[in-house]
Amino acid sequence: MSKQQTLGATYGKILHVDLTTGAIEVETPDPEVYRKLVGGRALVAYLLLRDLPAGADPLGPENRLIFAPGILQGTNLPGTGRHGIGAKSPLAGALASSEAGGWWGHEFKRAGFDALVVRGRAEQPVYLWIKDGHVEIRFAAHLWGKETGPVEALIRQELADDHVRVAQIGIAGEHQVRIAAVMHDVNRAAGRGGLGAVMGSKNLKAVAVRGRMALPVADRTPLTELSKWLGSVYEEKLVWAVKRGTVGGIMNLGRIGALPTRNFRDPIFEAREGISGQLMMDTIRTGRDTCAVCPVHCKQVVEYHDPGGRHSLDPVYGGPEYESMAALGSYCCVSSLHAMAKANERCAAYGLDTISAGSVVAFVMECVENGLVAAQDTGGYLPQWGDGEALLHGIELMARRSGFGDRMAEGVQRLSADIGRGSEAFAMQVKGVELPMHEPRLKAGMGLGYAVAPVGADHMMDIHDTNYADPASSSLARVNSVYQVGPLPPGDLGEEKVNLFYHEVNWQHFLDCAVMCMHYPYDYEQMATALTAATGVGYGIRDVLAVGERAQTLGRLFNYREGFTQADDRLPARVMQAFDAGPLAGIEIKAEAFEAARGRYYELMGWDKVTGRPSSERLQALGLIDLLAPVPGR
Amino acid sequence: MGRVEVTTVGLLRARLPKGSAVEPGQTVAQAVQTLGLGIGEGLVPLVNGRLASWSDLLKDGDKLELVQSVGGGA
Repeated sequence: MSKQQTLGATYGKILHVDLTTGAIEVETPDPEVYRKLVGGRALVAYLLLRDLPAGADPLGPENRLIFAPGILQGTNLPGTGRHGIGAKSPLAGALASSEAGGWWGHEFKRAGFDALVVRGRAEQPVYLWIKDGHVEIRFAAHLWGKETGPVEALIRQELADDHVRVAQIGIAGEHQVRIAAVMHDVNRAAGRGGLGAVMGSKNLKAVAVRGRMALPVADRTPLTELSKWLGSVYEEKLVWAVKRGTVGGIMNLGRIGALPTRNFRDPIFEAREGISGQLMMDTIRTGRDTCAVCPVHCKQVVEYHDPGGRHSLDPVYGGPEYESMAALGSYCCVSSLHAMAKANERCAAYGLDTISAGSVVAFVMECVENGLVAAQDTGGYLPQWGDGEALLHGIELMARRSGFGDRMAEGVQRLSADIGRGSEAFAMQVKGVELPMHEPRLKAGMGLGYAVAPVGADHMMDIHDTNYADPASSSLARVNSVYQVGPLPPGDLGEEKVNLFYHEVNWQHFLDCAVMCMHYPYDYEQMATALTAATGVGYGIRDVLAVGERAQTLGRLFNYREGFTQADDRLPARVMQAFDAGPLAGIEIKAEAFEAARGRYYELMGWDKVTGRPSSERLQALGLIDLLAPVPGR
Repeated sequence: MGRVEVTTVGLLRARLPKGSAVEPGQTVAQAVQTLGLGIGEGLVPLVNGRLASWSDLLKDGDKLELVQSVGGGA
């Protein structure tokens, strides 16, 4: 296509805001950038490689905070109510790339830009107001220090529009807590990687958006057909999401012995009924919420009036989903639904990542149990397993960097290095990012994914091995459209599993570029159809998967530049060692099998087996050489 | 004639009558097919309380439990 022509479903406009100078610029990227990268994570990694100097301080003004919807946002295709955010992570300095659902991405795209890149640091707190192509930097000192619920209400009041969508940090981001999230619609987090701390370091409190612009789509008809198909099948194909959302995971994974418990130490959480999805639905769940253009409504809404006041739940903060229920529940052995849900509410109000917040508290609980910290080290904060009040207290300390919370706010990797005394052995993190709530001893490929993901331990650019063991699996059918493979046991890490992993990880990355909800039952072909219809450029199945491979490759290239190598692609030893009881007893991940699988994956990706550097041949094959030509030091 | 008792948890309970059983001598995969329980995603079989393989042969007196292990995001 001509370099002057703008791709369908894009405006050809990347908005750049420098908060140091107040400069607002619009970049017109070569249409090849969006054709090859689509948006989301691939775009984030590309822009960081291009614009961020190597070795930059993640919390310095040079870092870029990039809000990156994809081509499909704003097209009204069901499942596109998501967007990505990225930066250099303040945890270990690798790529940070996280996605959130809700309404912000859809609204932003309709405001006339494809992406937003924020650099610099404002002298005092500000927020951005973006409406139908207009951009304004506004003072936010009056919003600083407030919880996310009131801040959204105040911004809407100030802008005299109840439909304004707000991305914001809470007090955790203001204090540059390294596990701070960027919150959207108050209760949807781009949680992983410390993006809230990056936003706080820029004195940027919020980005408010309102968009009613018509997005030019090349051919609406195939998108309408896909929407109709989805409408006819979603209740059957997503029955679990329609009926319960993700909350069934507590009892189901608990029964399999795969519900992370006591900092990944125990095989079974006996008290899981106390935090079950069913109990939540029977007691505190009052409604269901959804994302833009999504009929599923899998988002929980909870409300509770505690006569004692401590555990009252404000419905504006939404309810916990599986990851949060496990991280703030079983992972800390907390069996009180009210305490777990309150912890989730506080994380939303303060803008903390629930996975990492629960992980830090669990880590401290294990340190206390082993006598590695004493009252004089922690200002008297000595949480015990199962103590919901201690969990809540820990969240208060972290969000404000108060007392020992200042050290907890650094995340598990830095805290374990700080405490030392063997605590590194149970610091459950990869590249500084705390492990999500999926058990590698059940899902070995998931474990491999934790190790090789460019962002550290992450379950979104990863596979759930149990989806490929069932002979009737629809995930298997999807892979078989490009690679013939039969059902494989979830604990398998052999060559066939890694081949499958390669394709499906590329697919998952694609979903985070498009940016599409992973729960939707679309297959490779349908996404190729959607991209073709949206852009007017022909995409095939292989093109879709190549987008994902570009995201993984650009992430790897960024990390290589920042000094990460194969040695950083590791898995904590604890989750490789067999449990001695429970349904998974005796199942281990052997180090040799893990290393062989990692080696095989490197081969498939064209990465150097020691440095992890992507080969020039592969960069060429992926069409990245031309794209990266202006990038210094590539 | 032997008997393999089949149970489940969560939403799948609605699709499997209480007291369900299958005949031994078949694999887990065949049993799931017989029961018409194919949900197309993420079903995890336990036999006698331990993680089982889809190709495991069921014996008389075994207890088969089917659990939906939904993968996903939040």
